[in-house]
Amino acid sequence: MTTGIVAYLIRRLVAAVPLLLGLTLLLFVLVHLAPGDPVAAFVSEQSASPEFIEQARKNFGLDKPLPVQYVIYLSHLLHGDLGRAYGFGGKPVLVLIKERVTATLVLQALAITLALLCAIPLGIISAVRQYSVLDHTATVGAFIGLALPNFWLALLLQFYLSVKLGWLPALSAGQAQAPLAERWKFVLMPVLALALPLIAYFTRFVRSAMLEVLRQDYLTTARAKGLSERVVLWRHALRNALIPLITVTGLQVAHIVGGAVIIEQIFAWPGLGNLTYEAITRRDYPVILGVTLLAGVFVVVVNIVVDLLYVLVDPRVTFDRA
Amino acid sequence: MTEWGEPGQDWIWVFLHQQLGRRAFLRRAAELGLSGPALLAVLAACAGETKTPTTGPGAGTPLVASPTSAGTSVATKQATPAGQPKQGGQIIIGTLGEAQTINPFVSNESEGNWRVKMLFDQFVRLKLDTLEPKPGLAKSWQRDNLTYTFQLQDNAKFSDGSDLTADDVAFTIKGILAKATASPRQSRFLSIQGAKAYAAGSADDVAGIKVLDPKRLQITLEQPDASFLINLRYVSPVPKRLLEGKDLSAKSQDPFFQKPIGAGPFKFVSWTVGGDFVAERNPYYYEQGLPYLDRFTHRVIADAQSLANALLSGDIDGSLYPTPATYQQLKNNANLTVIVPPFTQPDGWLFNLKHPYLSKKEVRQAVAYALDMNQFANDSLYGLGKPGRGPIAPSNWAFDDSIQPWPYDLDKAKQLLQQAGPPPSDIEFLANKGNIPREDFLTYTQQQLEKIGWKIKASVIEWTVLVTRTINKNFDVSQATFVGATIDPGDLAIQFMTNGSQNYTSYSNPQLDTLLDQARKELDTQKAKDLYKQIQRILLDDLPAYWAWYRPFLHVIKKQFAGYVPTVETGGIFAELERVYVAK
Repeated sequence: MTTGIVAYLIRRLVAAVPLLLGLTLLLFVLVHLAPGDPVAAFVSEQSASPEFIEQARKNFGLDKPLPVQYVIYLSHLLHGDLGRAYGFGGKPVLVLIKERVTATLVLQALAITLALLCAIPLGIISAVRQYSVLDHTATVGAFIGLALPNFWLALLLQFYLSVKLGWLPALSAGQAQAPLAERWKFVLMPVLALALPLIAYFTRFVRSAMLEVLRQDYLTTARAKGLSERVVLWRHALRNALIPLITVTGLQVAHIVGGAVIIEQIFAWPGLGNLTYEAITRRDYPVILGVTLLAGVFVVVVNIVVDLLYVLVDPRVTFDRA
Repeated sequence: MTEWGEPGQDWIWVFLHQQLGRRAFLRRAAELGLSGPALLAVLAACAGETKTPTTGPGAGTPLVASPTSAGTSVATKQATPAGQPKQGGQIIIGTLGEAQTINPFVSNESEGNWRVKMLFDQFVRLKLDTLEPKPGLAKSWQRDNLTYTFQLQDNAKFSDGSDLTADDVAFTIKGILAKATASPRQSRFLSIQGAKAYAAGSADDVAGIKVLDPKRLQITLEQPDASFLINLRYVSPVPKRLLEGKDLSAKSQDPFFQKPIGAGPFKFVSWTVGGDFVAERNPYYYEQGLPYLDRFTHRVIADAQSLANALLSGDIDGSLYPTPATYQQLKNNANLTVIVPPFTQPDGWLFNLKHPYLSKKEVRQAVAYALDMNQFANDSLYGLGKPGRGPIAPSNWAFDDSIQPWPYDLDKAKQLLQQAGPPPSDIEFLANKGNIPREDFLTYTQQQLEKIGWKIKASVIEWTVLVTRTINKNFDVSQATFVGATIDPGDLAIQFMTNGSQNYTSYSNPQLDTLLDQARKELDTQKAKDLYKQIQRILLDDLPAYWAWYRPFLHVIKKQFAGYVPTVETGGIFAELERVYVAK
């Protein structure tokens, strides 16, 4: 089986190369097709002289034909160079990404972990005690959670927990200067704002997956064998119900790099979402391309990892070619 | 970015736009406690806070001034809380938009320009009230006809302890002029003798710039230039020895621009782009005892409501960017001082006179008559803004105080439009996305013009698109802020002279050409004032742009700070941060 996995991995990785190349081409064309000029971000109403714009475009290499620009970009990319931002202090894109990728990963990992820790037990209870008070409560709670836009939740949390009660700092910026024991205060609100809708989402998934599994004959068999309800639920039911959850979680994880744009903005979280948004509004092509490319790579990698996880959870899945 | 960007709120609008109007949403948000109570009740600005300076002598007057007296008197006068200035403490300032760059050759928006001023200072500064030139790194100057001789501050030093010399200043001006730098500041210095040839690459040096000795610099102009002295605020000297022969443009990879060294009051510490920009006291700053603060943090908070929350919770100490919607909420907070600073040049509509219909004066006047700016100011600007009164900011010395806002007269508007003939159906009015008052003004204009029988196409587009289209004259009606003057009335020349480099309206009027040319060369303030009076009259009659409304800004700072002055100069109450101190 191991050779099967290795072969599979190699196949997937090789397939990823043309995929990513195609992605760069598509992104490059789309980004340049969008109306607006990166140089416009450098001018105010009062200083927008055509001569300046012309020279600035030349300095950024934007005066060259698009195919030439693409080839230049690609050749740099093959050397591991994502180029330099037009704005953002002219920093290399790689540096900009490195500065903040950890912050985004940490935020999302915490939110997803918290969401799973809450959603799995909630979903199981809901399914096992279907139509009980607890199930109804969880269902209503989940629908509210799904319906609440997380930016609104974030602003509410911020307003009540920081402005009204003064328990937590309103912003996550400044956490680096805080003592280690205090850091959680800077993290709690953004994690909650991200996690609450996720809890709702995951709970619904676990519930329906469990309900489906619970109706299966092999569970009746397991019970008939005299297995305890705990073993039936955790070993036989949950394990099978996990497969759709892994898929859904994988999809969620793949979104990570795109970032929690809004949440990061509200809490001034020093992550990629903030960077992406600013880069788009300014048409900072190298930064937009860099971040989206990273997101593309991330999606490919996560998909491969998810496929591998299926094997662990479900022994029937195998990578050996029949 | 000087915009009320509110990028975060964009999403709110997208989300709710189907069900709720924007204003309705704000109201509901207020009822929910999000934006505090009585969001719609509005107080007029306190008289003391919107104090508009009286006139002052214009640029170009021969002047010898002592460095320490200038500015301090103004600053301490405004220091409301008691307490002697003392060193210590720090301030965290929240901003909505991030600076594009801190490269002093190319920085070109308010955040970048302000940071550059903090790190590099300015060769000549502006008086915060009258906007006249005052000493900066140039301690004094004398004018003899077309030749200015500048004396540098005796102990001006860079933050690494090395001396700032006239050589560095000359190097900086030449760097701005050089074509390869692509400096947006270049056009401001082309009146220097030989500058045009140098900028075009046909001369190796600028004939009009002479270093007399390490502390004296002589600059000779080709012709009188009334804007020359105040334009020197765009000279933020860099150390020549570190940058000679290097790329100075926006794409420069020189490490200097990642960790710059300047002669300003503060010294660069770190910059996490999109997060915190941190600077600390420059121990070598030439003014004894300044700055008072040990350090400042300039923190990007991209969401406007979040910025207000951070002020209310005390997480940040001040900001220039709370929206007027949060005025009451902030005003009611016991720890905050809320200031409505003097107005800048007005917002409004910019007409493309190449369009056959818009080229008719009665059409443009009909637009002005159709809009009730008092109503707009009360409803959309929360009573904090005001109807506009012409192209020049009211606090500017050249502003003609006898100008009244354009009257509201719907019948007159109808009549004018009838004279002009039926409007074509495809005339497009542009506003930039996320700029709430501008979007509101677009909607209001659309409603009002419909009343006089003109259906316009209202388009909300992104800022970079709006700029590109306006510069390329690919628009019908765009934003009026592309023309007008806040600090230098001389700007009107490049905007309205027939061959002006930023004449986006394609306006052409030989009489105005003559007046503008005279005014920009007139060094006598009174005479210049008279010229600008005529210029304002003509522009307001011809209306190549309708300067409709003054946008209110809110400058907010914690009560414990003192030493700041409300001003339209870049940075607002933080324009001279080195004079701000912790009073208690």
